Amino acid sequence: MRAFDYLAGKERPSIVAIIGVQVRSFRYFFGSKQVIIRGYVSFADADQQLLESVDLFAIAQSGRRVLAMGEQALQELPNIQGGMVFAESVPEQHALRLRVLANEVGKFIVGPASVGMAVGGAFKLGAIGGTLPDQIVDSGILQEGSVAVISTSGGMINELLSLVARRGAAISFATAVGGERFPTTTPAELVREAINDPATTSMVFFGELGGTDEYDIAQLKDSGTNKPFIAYIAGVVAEKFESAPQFGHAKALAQNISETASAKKRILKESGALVADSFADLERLIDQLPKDNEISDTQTIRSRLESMNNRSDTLFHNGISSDKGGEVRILNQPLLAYVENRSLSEIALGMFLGHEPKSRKTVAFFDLCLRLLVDHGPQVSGAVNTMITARAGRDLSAALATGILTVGPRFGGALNQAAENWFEAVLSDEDPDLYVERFSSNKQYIPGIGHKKYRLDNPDPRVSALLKEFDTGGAHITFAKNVATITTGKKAQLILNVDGAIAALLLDILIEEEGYDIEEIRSLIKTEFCNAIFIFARSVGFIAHFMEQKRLDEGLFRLPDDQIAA
Amino acid sequence: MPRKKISEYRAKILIYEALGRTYEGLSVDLSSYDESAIRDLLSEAKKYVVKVDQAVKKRNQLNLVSLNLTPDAVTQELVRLADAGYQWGLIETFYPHEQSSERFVALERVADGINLNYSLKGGVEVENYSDQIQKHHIDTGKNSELDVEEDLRRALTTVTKLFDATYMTYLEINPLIVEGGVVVEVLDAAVEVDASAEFFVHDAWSSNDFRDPKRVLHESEKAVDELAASSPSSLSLKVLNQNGSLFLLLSGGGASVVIADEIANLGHHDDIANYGEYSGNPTEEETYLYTKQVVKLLLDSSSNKKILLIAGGVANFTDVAKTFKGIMRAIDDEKQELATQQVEVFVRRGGPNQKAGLLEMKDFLDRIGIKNSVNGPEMSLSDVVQRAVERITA
Repeated sequence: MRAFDYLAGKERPSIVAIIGVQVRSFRYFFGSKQVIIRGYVSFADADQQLLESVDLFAIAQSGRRVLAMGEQALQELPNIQGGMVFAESVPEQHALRLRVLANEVGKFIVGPASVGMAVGGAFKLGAIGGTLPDQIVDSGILQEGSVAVISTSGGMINELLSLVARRGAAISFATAVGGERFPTTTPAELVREAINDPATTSMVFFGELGGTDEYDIAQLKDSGTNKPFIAYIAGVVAEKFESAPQFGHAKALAQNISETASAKKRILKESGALVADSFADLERLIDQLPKDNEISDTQTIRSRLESMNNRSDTLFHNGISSDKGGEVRILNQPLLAYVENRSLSEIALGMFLGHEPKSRKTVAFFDLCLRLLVDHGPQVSGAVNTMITARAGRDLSAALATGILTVGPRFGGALNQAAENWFEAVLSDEDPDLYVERFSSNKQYIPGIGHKKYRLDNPDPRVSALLKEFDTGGAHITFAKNVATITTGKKAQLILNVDGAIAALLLDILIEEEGYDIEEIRSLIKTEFCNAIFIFARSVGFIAHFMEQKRLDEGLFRLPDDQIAA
Repeated sequence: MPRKKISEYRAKILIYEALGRTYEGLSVDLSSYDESAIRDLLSEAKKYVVKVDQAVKKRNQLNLVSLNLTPDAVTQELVRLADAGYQWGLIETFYPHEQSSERFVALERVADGINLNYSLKGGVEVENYSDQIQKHHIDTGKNSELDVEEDLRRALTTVTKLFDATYMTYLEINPLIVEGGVVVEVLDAAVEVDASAEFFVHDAWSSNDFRDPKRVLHESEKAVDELAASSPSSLSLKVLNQNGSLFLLLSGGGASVVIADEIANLGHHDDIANYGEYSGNPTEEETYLYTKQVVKLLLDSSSNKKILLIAGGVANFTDVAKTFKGIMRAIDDEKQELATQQVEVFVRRGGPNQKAGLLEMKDFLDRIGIKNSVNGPEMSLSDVVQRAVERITA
């Protein structure tokens, strides 16, 4: 589908999203460039604007999930016109139910067991016409034409397309009905479309033994149309055997004499259709179709084809910012417009998340965290290292790097671990007692709990400030406080520290204010978002300590002898 | 997946259960059963019915239903059926009744609901009274409004519900015994289900209940069935004439029928050794195993002129180069014997990576010394069939 879109000269692939996948984004080729297509676990995950932009869907899930997915697609996509179902082995009753649902809302669904549909030069939905670029060119579906091709067989539709193309005609539209007994859109419905379609001047139909669709088609044909109707009905071979095996598709078994290929050929002939007696005869009939104009732009298509054969993976994908011809954009907005009326912390938040925050509360929380973490005295190890490096005569970048390199599990880096622990514990509904027990039995510290200086009777004022403003009784902060109640009962120093409080409050805010789901939270934690808050804020402190040491210029620091225990 | 017939045994368990009763028939695997264990379950005071239970049509005419048997006669009958090559038998208590109590009921799934056929004159001769069959249509989700006895209508409503809930596509009860306005027995039942729905019926039936009227599957058919059961792709094989000349290795549900049609059009359907197809982008290994079975059939045929026709339409997404690799590997395994038997290979195929696939195939066949004609979509399906058929008549 992407190859078709590119060859047809579209600017973007027509696939806007993939629903029902765990992966959040897919990198695909579009021409020789790569593009990102978003993935969502469910429709509920995707944003409304995106859902509103969708007009066609293709269901690629297994047969048993088709009904549920189709139902959702019809419900959740407000501007949908129709779609297709690729899977085979969809239960008959499910296919019939889907037909009722689609009819109720006036939409079409092609399939099941269909390779899809294409409208000449306009779109391709499904594998129809091929999956590789040169195949698509050969199939002729890039050109707008006047022949409607309708086939109950997915393999044969491509055969017919290339027959039509090789003989200088092109398609108005082509649809693979799907080989199942109860197609959601019937061959007769498609023939009616073709008869009513002003772009279509002739039709080519491939049918098979079994079922009675051809009787409905004959009736339509009878009711008067001058458009030539060429038909091939496969399966006369079955009549040569006393007990014929199942030929081809699920429905390809004549239940009675009227469903045999011969009977259906006869009824179509009687209605005035051009019925092929053999495949060679079909080729002859297609040969006689009026030729459509030559593809006007063969050159362009050739060069597009060439550029597609010239693919290499891009080294990076970047959605944070761009610089194209001097126009710098942040989160896809022009830099100047984006920074106007936004504080540095709000800009940082958007860039860290990879999208703009939805809620002012998130912005306020992030800002307060940054302010509270900006510095915490020169004694902390990161600040000490920065100052020592400054006094050794190194420059700002070296001194700042030394400070930042100190950040880790024991200094500043507990935030991320605390967030992960709180999140998984609440998710699995773990009992706070068992949670504490799990750590203490392994003789481990609990990330986010405990402080060298602050105690139950001397609480951390930063924690108090955070709780005062942002504790609205969310699940994570409640869990964290419950854990602290247990730990402070053992030792007064084991209070909820600033890392633990930020981590817990952040989780509650992301869920309540930003609507993050489980997977989004997990992936945010993986990006070290919490550590980013600390490092961003504390860099300010480190830089300040460096500058002060430079101003004082006290010379190389050496640890006094009495500070080393022998 | 097509519709499949299930055993009468399973069908009756479902029908009786729906009607609030218990079915007491005995299903017997005729290929391995414990005669004394069966004798222990039979009573000398009762009479029994023994019938073949594997979706055979016209069982009565074929003498596959025996009535009013003593336990001794039951065991003899089981032996007779086993010797005749059948695998599944059914033992039921004989129910004597008047012919006038026999009714005919059939339900069939159609696009907009269920067709219900009903006749007061049921039994083996129902077809002789086809003018007596009343045809009703039940819209999806509605109940039947047939003008029959109260108890029968209730039973029909129940069975119709069962029909929907267990994804049946066809159900026939003939005869259904109605005495004094009351449904008393379901004597013969045949049920076909939508095989795709196995996941949704919660063990009401399963693929173990599927029955095939054919007595013994050909070894190669069995092998391909097993291969297909474990693959998301479509793979099928039927042996039509073990000593045929045309061995078909076809891809695509539609194209394979077109090719068989073309052979039939030329009057050579009797030369077709096998029919089948692979599609839905099978793996190289699956194609290899599938081809091995076709090649085996070919080598075993007693025909003195053998053609292997590897053909299909222009595939949408089945990788030609990949599937051809599997085919070549299987041919390579038997290249000596194929050359000795002077087998000729005709190829016509298009689709993803056709150029590479066709080139490799041509090189390979030339290298191992097998006469061949390898073609892409520029050769029409008719032409390649014509050329292959010309070779067997030459």
